[in-house]
Amino acid sequence: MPHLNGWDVARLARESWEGLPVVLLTGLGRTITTTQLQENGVVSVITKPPELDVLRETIERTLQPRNRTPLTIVVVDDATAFATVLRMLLRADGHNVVLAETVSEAITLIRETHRLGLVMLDAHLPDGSASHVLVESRTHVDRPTVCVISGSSVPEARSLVPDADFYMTKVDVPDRLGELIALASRRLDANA
Amino acid sequence: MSPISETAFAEFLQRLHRDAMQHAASISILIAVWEGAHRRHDANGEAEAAAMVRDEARKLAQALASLEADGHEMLATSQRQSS
Repeated sequence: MPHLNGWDVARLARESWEGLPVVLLTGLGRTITTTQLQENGVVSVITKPPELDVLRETIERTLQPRNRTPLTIVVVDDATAFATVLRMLLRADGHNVVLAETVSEAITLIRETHRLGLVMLDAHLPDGSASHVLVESRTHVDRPTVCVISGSSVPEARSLVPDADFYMTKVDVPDRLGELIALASRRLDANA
Repeated sequence: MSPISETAFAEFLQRLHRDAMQHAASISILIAVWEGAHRRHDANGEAEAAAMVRDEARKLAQALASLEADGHEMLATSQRQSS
């Protein structure tokens, strides 16, 4: 198309069909950032000219029905570097992620967020007890799943923020994220 | 040897949690980001994640080196006070 580049086409397509997965065909040596991919809904990138088996496998994988709808997730952590990479991981799986660094920010965000599926909450926050965020989450109409994450240990997280739905250490997030997302999705569907 | 200052040790533990632990956790997450990019055949995503892993690993090493130096300093202070 003469007046549109590939990103424009991807954006326009997704405006018409929400959640449409996009496979990007690109030449070697083009610089593309993960942010560009995430913002334009690109699920796979194939280098031109594509090999037939790579093309077939990519299309098959893209067309497989997703067994989960994306969640809206609030991540509450004052360790900004960690929160940012966690957001990268969650966004790569299609979820909408908003970040808060403090208890007060988190409470405001939770009140303002619709269709909230999951709150991932650091056990240590700078301006108060993370338990306040848990209490606020319990009053939310969507009854989001609350997961407390700790840099140190699960027993410590449990003692600091009792009665959450899920606990894990930060280094265990990649191993246990699938289980957590499945739980949050089931609960959100059940509460709908 | 004199006991190590409680305040100094509490600060030491806080820095261990605030710096080293967060960088180690970030590396764990970034490896998962890299694996996801690899599955999607997203070479740019892989390269970006790998660069971030290297950056976080560098910060982790710096944080550990700083903690080690401070640990030695605490020990030396304790030994000086006891002699």
